[in-house]
Amino acid sequence: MTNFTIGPDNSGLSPTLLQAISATSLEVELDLPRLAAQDLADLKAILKGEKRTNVPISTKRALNALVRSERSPETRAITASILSDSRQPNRVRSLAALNLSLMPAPETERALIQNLQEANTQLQASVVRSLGRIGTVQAFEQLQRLDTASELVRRQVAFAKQTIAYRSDSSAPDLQAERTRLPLAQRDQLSAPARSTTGWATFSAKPVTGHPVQEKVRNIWGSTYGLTLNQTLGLEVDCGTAQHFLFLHERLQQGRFLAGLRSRPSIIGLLAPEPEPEQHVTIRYVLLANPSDQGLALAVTRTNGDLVYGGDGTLTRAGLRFTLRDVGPTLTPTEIVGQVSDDEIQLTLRIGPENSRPKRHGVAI
Amino acid sequence: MKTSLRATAASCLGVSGKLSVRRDVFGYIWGPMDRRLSVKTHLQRIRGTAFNLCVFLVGHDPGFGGWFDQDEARQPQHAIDVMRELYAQVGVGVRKIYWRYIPVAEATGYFSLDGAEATDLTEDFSGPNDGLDVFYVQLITDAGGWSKRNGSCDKNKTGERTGSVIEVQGSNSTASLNFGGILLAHEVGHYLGLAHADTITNVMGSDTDGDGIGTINSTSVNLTTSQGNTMKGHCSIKSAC
Repeated sequence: MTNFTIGPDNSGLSPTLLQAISATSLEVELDLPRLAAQDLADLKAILKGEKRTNVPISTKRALNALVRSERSPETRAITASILSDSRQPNRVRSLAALNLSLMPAPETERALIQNLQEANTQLQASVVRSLGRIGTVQAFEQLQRLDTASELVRRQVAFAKQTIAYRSDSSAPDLQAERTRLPLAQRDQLSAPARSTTGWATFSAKPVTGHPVQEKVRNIWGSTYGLTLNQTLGLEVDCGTAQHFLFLHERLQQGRFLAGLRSRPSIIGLLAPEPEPEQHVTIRYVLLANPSDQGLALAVTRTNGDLVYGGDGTLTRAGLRFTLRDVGPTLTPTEIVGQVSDDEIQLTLRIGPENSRPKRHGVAI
Repeated sequence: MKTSLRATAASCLGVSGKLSVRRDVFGYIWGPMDRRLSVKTHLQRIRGTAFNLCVFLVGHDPGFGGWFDQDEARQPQHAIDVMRELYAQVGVGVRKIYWRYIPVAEATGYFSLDGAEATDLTEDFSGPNDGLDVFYVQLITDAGGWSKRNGSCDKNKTGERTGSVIEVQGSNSTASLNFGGILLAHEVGHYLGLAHADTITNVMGSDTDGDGIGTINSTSVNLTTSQGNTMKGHCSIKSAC
């Protein structure tokens, strides 16, 4: 029988901290307890290299424990220093880059830009991804100039530039051009003729208000793409086999839904699967809207930038009627129809009975 | 013994003719590892109640030109061997291993993942219906692994993870590799229907601070008869061969 026992611990660390950062221990879910003051001080000292331990430490787990416990300038500086430390494994540096996107600030953006020319493409892709989530016009300009042969990095750059452009108020021509690009990128697919939906299952989204929305916003782990989210209203979206929750941009408030939607091209919401018990919320889809004279172009992408649903809306007397359908890598044929007035958002999903595409199976070894 | 080996390979694994014990019977294709292998014990385990596994390396290219180096590619087979030892306590074997990889060119969205992106990965890819899918990835930002509890045997099911997603270990020390085996057994245990347990020495971990969040460590190695029965009731379990 394999010997699985752990060695003696003379680290002087509290059991809670040891549990949170040991290389041979794991919180099965992320929801680590926030560390108490002394544990947090010890953790910072370990990550700064000022305190040594005699037990193997997972820097990845330590970084997550730190950002979970405190998002301060000091946390940002420690994380940025690990990102820049070439002695650290690239996987750890990648996590540091991604965790920086949880602490948006000019200093964060600068730290990421300083590491944008990394030779390791996975690390570079993580830096780009993080810049896409929190970057401003400065990051956009750097990404415009980035020359790479890596498809991994190129894809992340394209999505990062789009999310920055949709978030930014800048009227710089390059950003304006980028804003018109995303929902229209696959115009031929977006305007594909409607399919017969006979036999499809129909589900209506339900508005959720008040405290449950705040609770869900609080439980989000990961980036919110620079959005300030509406804390009082969201939508429960039943997709038949799974429940999702639609977080709305703060600008979309009852009494001015339509005005908020049509005010400018922007990321209008984030869609997250309802977590299983004991798990936190992670964002799965990003919703972008681009208004025009006649209505609105809409796109829903995965968090890696893959376009999944696309469509458009037309202005009517009653408001805006829109239709979205699956155009990308989702298994389920889906049509989403809805109507938005200033006072109400109505959303109905129609789900096809059979999968629209086969899964891929990789390459057998 | 020779007859038994060939008979078992044929009836349980569908392998006949000239065979390599390590590759064709154990399913270990990534070279030697720091574990003692007993053919006799292994044959007993795979003849009994067992399931098959399909292991994906996400972002691998032949010749190790992708995201995996040789040591990282060896990690899953060490983990499988540890899992086999842990599951043997309750009479559940891990029979056939299907190895697959997702080339870097197809894995560009999956270098780093969180829980939702793990669902996207299992929605995009699956192995043979004959085996439970496990995806090894480079970086999971918000956990060590993700798995649906009591996962589906219909890999076309949408909206939920149809396999387990696990991060490769950061170190190749024996302790780290063994812990990778416990992590694999934990995540696959979820897929086979197990919930978190109430003691740290159990493979399914404990909830030490009562917040509903499970924890495992390198001593999380035990399984109970009741847990074994739950696993044996899962749709992916095959009867004796």
